[in-house]
Formats: sequence, structure tokens, C-alpha cells
Amino acid sequence: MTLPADLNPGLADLLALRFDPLVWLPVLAVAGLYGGHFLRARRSPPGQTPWPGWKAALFGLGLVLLILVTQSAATAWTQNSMALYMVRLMVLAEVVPPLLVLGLPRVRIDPRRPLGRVLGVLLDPWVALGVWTAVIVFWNVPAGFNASVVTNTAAALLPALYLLSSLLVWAVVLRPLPSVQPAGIGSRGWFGLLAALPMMAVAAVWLYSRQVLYTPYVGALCLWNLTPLQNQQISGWIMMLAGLPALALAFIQLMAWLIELADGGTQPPAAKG
Amino acid sequence: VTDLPTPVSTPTTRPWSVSALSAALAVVLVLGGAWVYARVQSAFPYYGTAYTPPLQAQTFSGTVSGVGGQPRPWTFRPGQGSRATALFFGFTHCPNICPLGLASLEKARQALAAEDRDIKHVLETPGS
Repeated sequence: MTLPADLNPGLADLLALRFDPLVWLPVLAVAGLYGGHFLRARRSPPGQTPWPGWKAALFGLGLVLLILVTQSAATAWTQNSMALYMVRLMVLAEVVPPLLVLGLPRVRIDPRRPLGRVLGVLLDPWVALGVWTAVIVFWNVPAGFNASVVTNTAAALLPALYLLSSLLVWAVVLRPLPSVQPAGIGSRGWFGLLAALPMMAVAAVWLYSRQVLYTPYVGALCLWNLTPLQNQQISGWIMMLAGLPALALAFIQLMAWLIELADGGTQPPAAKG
Repeated sequence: VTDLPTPVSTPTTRPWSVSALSAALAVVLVLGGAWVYARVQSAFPYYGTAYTPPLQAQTFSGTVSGVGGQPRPWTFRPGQGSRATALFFGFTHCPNICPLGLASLEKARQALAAEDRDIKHVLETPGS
């Protein structure tokens, strides 16, 4: 991590790409695998495999954003802007995962086979909630967060854990694999509500704290002439706004569940949306 | 879901105690895995950046404030013999990050043999 000389970078400076093969190669491999399967499915007779083009577009957008937040020059300014760091982390946690999950095709996986069993455990709401909460809590207490800012080891680890744990959360909420995900809309709504709480709590602490909580930022030279405290408060806003779509979706799912309960199976099948 | 073919078998909801146990195990695996990864990458994964291969620091000279505030010439010569040299820049009034940096440095110093300890401190007075 070197200190950049320019403390007023523009968008083009921030988005200039770099090449780390450990990130680029897996992303390109996933893109190639997805593209190959997508093209093969499109050539099959119509109606046999439902894999519309918009799913491929969302998946591709997710991969492009993943590359931008991990492989752009913005990563070099982490020590100079907590807000910029938080934008990168929130794109990784709240934008990339839903795009990737929505881009998955509808496939049937036998829950009794090894892959079905593994996915059944990984996409269990309890497992996803436990891992997500642990990652959010551990990496936002000062020791974990400080390490992610000042060391190259933890700096690579934190974004990876944010991405993986958030993928689990969004996969539970959006339920892309119904054949191994038995959870109904009500339990997914409650899950979404609970999963949004840790991030909202952290965001509230940052918003209302009167002092800078993380030592690497206490005396930091900040981008765009902001103070470290302003950076921390802006980071709180970013985290809170980033969590709102997931929270709104959880409320919608809970409402749908309540309507389902109120109907109590009294509606004729044609009237059920 | 209407566009799915009939599943081979329907997923079953597992008891909450099994789910809770799986969650606890997953948390231990994720945090333990992160800890093992960090340890494999660096002996001090949470204290600074490890450069592999190590970078050779350059010799440089300057003037420092000696006893009584009198300026005196000073030269930084890293790695005398086979020793590793640490150079620490801090402020004389710095309640937060300097003690943290010094504590990390002290841990590294304790890990070295007495003859290998070569840590130079440069303390600056704000405004000077």
C-alpha cells in the first residue's frame, strides 16, 4: 500500500484498472463457464430451458462491478478515504451478490445427491445469517477493521469475506434453487429483516459517534478535503442506504406472507398471483 | 413456481437444532479459515504490510534536532551487517496511532535476537 500523491482524484483516476491474476483469472473463468452454458441453452429447442437474456445481462453486470471494485485504482486510496472504502465494500455486499444470484438460471438439483446436500446446508437461513453476522461484527470492531486498512493480508481477506457471506444471504432471500431451498416467503422475510440488522447497527454507530473510531483514520490525510470524522459519518450513510433495498425486500416478503396467511387458502387458484 | 419441471424429490426442512449447529460450525470454519489464511500469509498478519521479496531501503542523510535543540547531521544506514533495520517516524504529541505503532514495533523487536535489534526513532514536533 503506497500513499498516492493526488488527494483529489477524479472518477477516471479512481476507475483505472490494474491486473491481479488471482482475481481476474477466476472471474474470467466464471464468465467463460456461464457464457458457454448460456449459449448452449439458447441453441436448445425453445421452452426446454428457461434462461432468458436478461439473466445473462445481470450476471455480466455483477462480474463487471466485481472487477471495478477490486481491480481499480480506488483500492490505492483506502487509507485516505473511509467513505470510498465503504462504497467499494457496499457494492461488493449489496449490489454484486443480488445481480449474480438473479443471473443464475433455474436448474433442478436433487437434494439427496452430494451437491444438493452441500447447497442445502450452505443456503440454510441459519447458516447464512450466522456467517454474515460474524463477518459484519468481526470486521467492523476496531481490531478487524484497522487490520483490513493497514495490512495487505487482511485487506484482501475482508472484501472476499463480504462477497461470499453476502452471496449466501442474497441466495437465501432470492431463492434461486427452490429444489434445495425449502424456506417459504415468510421465513425468508424474517431472515432478511434479521440479516439487515447488524449492518444497520454499525451504520448507526458511525453516524452518531462524535469521535473517529478507527486508529488508521485518526490522523489520515483524507481525499477531497474531508475530515476523518466526516468520512466516518458519510460511511454510515453509505452503509445505511446500501442496506435499505434488502430491508425493503424483507418487508415486502413479510407483507406477502401476511396476505397469504390472511387468505388462508380461501382464494381460488386463478386468483393467486 | 410454474416454469420448473417436477423436482426429483422435494427438499425437507431440517430441525432448527441441526440448522443452529450447522450455523455455529460454519462461523467457526469461516473465522478459523480467515485466521489460518492470515497466519500462512504473514507472521504478523495484523501489524503492517509484508513485502515479498523484501525491499532494500536506501541510505539518506539529513539534519535532526539534538540536545538543546541544536541541529546536528544524521545519516540513516539500514541493514548494517546482516541486521534488519526499522525506522519509525512519530510525533511527540500523538495520543492515538503512535502508541499503537510503537507497541507493534516492540513486539517485532522482542522477536529478534538482541544483536539484531536495530530500531531508529525519529520524533517530530507538530508545527516544526
